[in-house]
Amino acid sequence: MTGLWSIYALVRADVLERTRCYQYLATVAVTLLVGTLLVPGRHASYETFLIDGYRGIYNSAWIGANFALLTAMLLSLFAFYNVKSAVERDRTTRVGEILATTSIGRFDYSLGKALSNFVVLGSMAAILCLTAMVMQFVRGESYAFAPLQILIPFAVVVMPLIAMVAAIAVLFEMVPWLRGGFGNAVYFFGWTAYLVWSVQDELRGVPWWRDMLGANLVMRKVWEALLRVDPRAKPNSIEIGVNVGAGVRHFFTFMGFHWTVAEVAERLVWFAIALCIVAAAALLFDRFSKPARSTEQRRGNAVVLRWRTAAGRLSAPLVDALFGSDFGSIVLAEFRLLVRGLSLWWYVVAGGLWLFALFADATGQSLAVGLAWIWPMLQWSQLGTRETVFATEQFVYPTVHPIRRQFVAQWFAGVLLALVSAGGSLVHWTIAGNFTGLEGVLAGAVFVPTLALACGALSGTTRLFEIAYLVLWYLGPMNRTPFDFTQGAYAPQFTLASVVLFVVAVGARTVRLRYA
Amino acid sequence: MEIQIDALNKSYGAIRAVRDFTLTLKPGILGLLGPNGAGKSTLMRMLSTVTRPSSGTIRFDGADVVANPEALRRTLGYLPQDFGVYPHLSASEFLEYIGALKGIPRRRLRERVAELLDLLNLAHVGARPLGGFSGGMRQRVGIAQALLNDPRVLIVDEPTAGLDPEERVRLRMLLEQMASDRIIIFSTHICSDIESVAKRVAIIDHGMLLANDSPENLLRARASLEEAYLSVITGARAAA
Repeated sequence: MTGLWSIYALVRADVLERTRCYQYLATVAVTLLVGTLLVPGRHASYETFLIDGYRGIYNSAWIGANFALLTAMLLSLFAFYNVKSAVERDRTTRVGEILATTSIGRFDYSLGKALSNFVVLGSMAAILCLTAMVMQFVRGESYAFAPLQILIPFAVVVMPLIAMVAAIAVLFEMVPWLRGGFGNAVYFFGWTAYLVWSVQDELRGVPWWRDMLGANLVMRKVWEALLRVDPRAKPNSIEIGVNVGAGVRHFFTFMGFHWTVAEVAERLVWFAIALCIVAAAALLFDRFSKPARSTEQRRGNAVVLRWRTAAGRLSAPLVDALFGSDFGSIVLAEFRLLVRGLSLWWYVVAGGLWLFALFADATGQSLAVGLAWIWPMLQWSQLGTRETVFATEQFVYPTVHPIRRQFVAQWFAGVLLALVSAGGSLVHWTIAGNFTGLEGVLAGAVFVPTLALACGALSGTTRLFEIAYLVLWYLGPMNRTPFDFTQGAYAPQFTLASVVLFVVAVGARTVRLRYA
Repeated sequence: MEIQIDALNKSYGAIRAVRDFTLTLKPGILGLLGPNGAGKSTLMRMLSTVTRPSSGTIRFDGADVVANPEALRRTLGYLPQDFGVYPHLSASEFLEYIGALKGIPRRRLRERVAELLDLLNLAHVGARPLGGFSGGMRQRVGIAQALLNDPRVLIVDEPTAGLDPEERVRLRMLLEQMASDRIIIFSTHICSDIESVAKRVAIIDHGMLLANDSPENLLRARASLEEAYLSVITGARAAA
């Protein structure tokens, strides 16, 4: 160990660097907004936490339980993506190369980064905690203020969880194949599977190691309290999250948690596990010994290399296209940039999904289309970002009509990829003569790349799309809600959304061109 | 004090970036010259303990730096060719951060940072975010971080890149003053940067050491160090 002073300096610098950028301000604003939405009013069209139609009156105890539960779920998913950049920053800024020559050890560095993640996540939790206190008075159902009823659930449930998220984020950054978009997807599906696993036994209680989020613990204790009010309350009708249309049938007064020593100890174990994860991350830390390039930059170089290869083969038609009118050549070049460099396995899986979509019955089509929309996600995430990520703005922006030609061609290439990916379903619905199904696939094929383009043009990074899309994909195609952009029934809405997103994308790119 | 480099090799797959490099360094400035892709930066990354060699040894006062990098790190200053900063930190905050990682005690660090900001003509912008710095100012911050721990071994890769002529002269003078009791490795493309200050000049191409001599000897019968450098490089390439 190089000492606490070095770790403190590392955490301080990292936290300052993160909290001084506008993204953090945006995060604070979103956190505040989310905080207010977690406590819907009596006439709101949604509820956030109900057990068998029961909702506690908004006293400190219920607000504390409600916020602890929902904060745990929100921070463990969305905030992971927010903090998973501490090591990457040192790679991309190349500060890492300087750090590698200092005496700081692998463990100290990993611990410092995890602590920095913990502080940033903690600041979000603190904002939500303060919002919770304010919202009790805003809703005004109870003015008996007991701050510990809010603070203690945060300390017991949320703090160990964010320690874990902070450590896992560092671990993901140390494993090369988990650093980028693939890692984001792995975390999303891993989180979803773990959450289902931790609550699938209803409220009978699960071992502590199946309840990192603390969701089962909170729900079980609230349910036990509810049973004292209504012994017939059913545990199998719990609604958590934004439940549109869910109505409160009864109110009850939740008096707060009574934590046992065992329960607190079980939560504290997560801190120890987080420390073990940091130690594992430290073992995998390469001390920036590889040339200091980010995953995206490496991918960028691969693309540049591919571009060179493509340019070698296509140089004549490509140059003609830029100055002539062969828009199709630019679309083709953009399409090649999207898919070149993919492994054979990628195509094998894509082919398998294509065949599955072709032969799946009407029920299986939802899954087939859903998978066809997820498999090329990392390719779509390049849309609108490639020039920024790979620093080719200076080449691309001064070309003839960079928006009308190159940017639109990039969008076309994304749509083309979507049509190819979901080709099995397109053929299936065409043969079946089901135009509603066909409409759904086509609407999705336009919507997904447009969303990617807009997110990319707005943020300049692949991350915004990867996160927004995974969430939307889960809400929509996998759960068949009105967010399902693959269903013909919602095609008009998503077509309209595509138009709006396209305008946003063009606007964002225009601004970038103006201020590049 | 000396650094002994013995039969050093570094390969990236089939590419041999540094080949059988052997050199002994004593206090003073060693100018490292070579064309792009010659292996200079790879050599410097190995000397600065960032990258491990594929084979060979580096010894600092007898201690094996490859097996025990800490032997050198405590007294090392390194300015990479291409480095970055945290754009939202001020110059002072960034230097305090790097200083803490280098193990400089807190009480001494603030004083040292102020000294270096003053020395490198950055005191008036010390509180400003680094994101707004020009290339030359950023380069001077890089030089400052390399000097934070008063290093006995200073490795600077293209330190004059982005500096204006006045700053280049100031840097050369600074390095010359420091060179009496320190080993300084100064890599550059610009022969005039090292001609007047280097005690010895090493010329490297294709990862191999082609020449290691005093500027006076290299200049013998030649008009400039540039001419001597070109002569060594073309001679070696012709022989190959």
